[in-house]
Amino acid sequence: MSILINSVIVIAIIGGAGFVLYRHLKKSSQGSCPACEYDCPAKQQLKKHQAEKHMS
Amino acid sequence: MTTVALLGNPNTGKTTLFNELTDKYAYVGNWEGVTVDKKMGKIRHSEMVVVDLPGIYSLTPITKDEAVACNYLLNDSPDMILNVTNASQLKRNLLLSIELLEFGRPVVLALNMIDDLKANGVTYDFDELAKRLGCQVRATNARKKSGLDQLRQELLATPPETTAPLHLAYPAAVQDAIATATQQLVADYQLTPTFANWLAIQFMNRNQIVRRYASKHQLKPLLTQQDAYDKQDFEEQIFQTRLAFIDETLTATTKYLHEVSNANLTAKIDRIVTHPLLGLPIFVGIFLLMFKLSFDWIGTPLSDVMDAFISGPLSATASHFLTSVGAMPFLKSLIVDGIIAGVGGVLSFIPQIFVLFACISILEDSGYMARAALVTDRLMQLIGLNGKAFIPLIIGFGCNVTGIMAARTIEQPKERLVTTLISPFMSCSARLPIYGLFVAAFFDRNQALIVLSLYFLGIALALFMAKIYQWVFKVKENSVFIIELPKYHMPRPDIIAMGTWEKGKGFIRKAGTVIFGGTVLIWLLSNLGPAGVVTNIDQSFSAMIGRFVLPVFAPIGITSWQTISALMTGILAKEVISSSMIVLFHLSGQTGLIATFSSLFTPLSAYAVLVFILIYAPCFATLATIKAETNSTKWAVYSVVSNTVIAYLVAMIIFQVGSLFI
Repeated sequence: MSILINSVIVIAIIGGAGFVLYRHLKKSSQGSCPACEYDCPAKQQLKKHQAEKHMS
Repeated sequence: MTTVALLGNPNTGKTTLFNELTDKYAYVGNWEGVTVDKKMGKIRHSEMVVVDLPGIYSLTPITKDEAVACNYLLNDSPDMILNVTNASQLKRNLLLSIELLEFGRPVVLALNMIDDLKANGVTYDFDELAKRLGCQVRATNARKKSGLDQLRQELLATPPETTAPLHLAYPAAVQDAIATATQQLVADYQLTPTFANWLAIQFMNRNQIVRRYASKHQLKPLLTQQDAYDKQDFEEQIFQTRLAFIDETLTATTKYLHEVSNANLTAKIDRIVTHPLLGLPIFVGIFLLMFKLSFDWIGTPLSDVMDAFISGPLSATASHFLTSVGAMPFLKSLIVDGIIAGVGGVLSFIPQIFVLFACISILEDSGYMARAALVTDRLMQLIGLNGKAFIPLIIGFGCNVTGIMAARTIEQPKERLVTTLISPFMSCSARLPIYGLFVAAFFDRNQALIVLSLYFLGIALALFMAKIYQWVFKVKENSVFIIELPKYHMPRPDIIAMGTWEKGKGFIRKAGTVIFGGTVLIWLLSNLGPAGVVTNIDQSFSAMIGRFVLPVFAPIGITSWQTISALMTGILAKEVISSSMIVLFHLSGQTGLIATFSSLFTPLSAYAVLVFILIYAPCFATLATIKAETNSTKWAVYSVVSNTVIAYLVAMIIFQVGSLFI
């Protein structure tokens, strides 16, 4: 495996980790329901409702 | 699309009914306060949408969740109402039913838990009840799935049109006032007569949401008469009329099947479980049993198997594969020592966490949790809170975020704030992996007992702080605590399985998000230093940060900078502490870490560290929730500072005082 491929994989993993951390902190900063890890049916319905609203 | 509002008193089985009717799973708990916001789901093979609303005793809201239901009726105006009642408690349940029947939409009244009523030797004349109430009446037992097909058919067959509302014979003065207000509202504001009639009754009944609605829409016929309505105490007159109507209706429709000779099983169990003296020891015993199952008997053995697989064959295979494809040491270290060891190390705690969640689901579904709130009510009263605050606190055992959100059910703002501030002291499930590591290393024979002591230390500290906050905030008014005690029943395996999965899947999802991110971050900080990539971890950024604050933590028995750096990552999520430790100590899993711990900690310093982890600054999501729920950054900042100071003081006292004896 070349240095380039090694570097690309390392960057991809670190970039991916950075992205999930950024998304976690952004989501958490909204507090309450968005910060909650449980993807409960209420949250699923809410997301669906918001998506439908956005589409219309 | 027809919308059906699902309304009823707390703990009447609404959520179970919602799940059965809509084929959607919603979290079910056999205790009140589970539905704090509305949920929606479609009835199978139809375009009918059912909206599950929080359980309420009346449309006059006291708490935030009760306001959700009233606001929904005012603003969303459902096509139909499915009113779920506990057939055994119909007298109280009908108070809400009357308000719904007066709303003027078709109502289907579900007499749920009908088997419990029949077991007490009582039933109702359903036709007569339907005639008197002016709605469809159906007997159901949602848990046993009986009567649900008929109820579904009834809902689908009922035309979603405005029907004649229920008209009660209110006293003449009230009747006249309703008629006058309705007439003017219809004429001047183009409201429908039915809605105007309902609005007038609710306004006279001092419904604050309706009164705000009237102010917002400048409904002068009501606003100008407000003082007159209140002076004549229309609210009491309305209540008495409703009560008389219910008594008359139930007297005319109740049928006695047979004499019940044996006192029922629930009452027998409750005499012991809710006993003033025995109640608390039983509560402690049940929790001890729960931790025994999670840490000693089932969870840990399974966890050891998982850890052996992750740190053994999985780690070795990945390492071998990466070497064979020519991966550089940096990449190999990132994947094997970072991701597999760190994330895998946390994932190996899945069995313990799932066993604990299964136990909690069993307690909820059996009906014990409601009793636990009742038992703790006596204890809570001593410090000025009540059993209502216990519910958010025990929900906080799963996740502090949901616990804080559940504090919305507390109506007194100061009491709600106190509950919000003490919620992070509850030991959430995210702390379990780190407890698991330490108890396995130092308290092998008493794992459950040590974890139990941490949970109860959290409760004791929460109660102690609550007392201080009560005094500081000068809390005088207390919320009223009413809790429905459901009948005990055998927990249903599908509800337990789904409840466990719902609670546990958040933990698995976190492994792929924040735990993965945090692990890579700490791996980077331990492999990079001011001079770039480092081969000696002692020259890394994480070592620099850890060493800088290490002297501060010496009084609580922490002697390694790795522990300090790992504690700092706990602000992302508490699970990250374990993965960070595995990465920082360059180990392949929990077995290696447990061995390393023995040279860094004594049992006393290990316990002091666990206490510190229990109490110190909440995770970021919890802080953001405190900010959102209190509408103030101040309380979130206060939480970080106060919790960390308290954690430090308590851990220091334990370590220093303990050192004198051990």
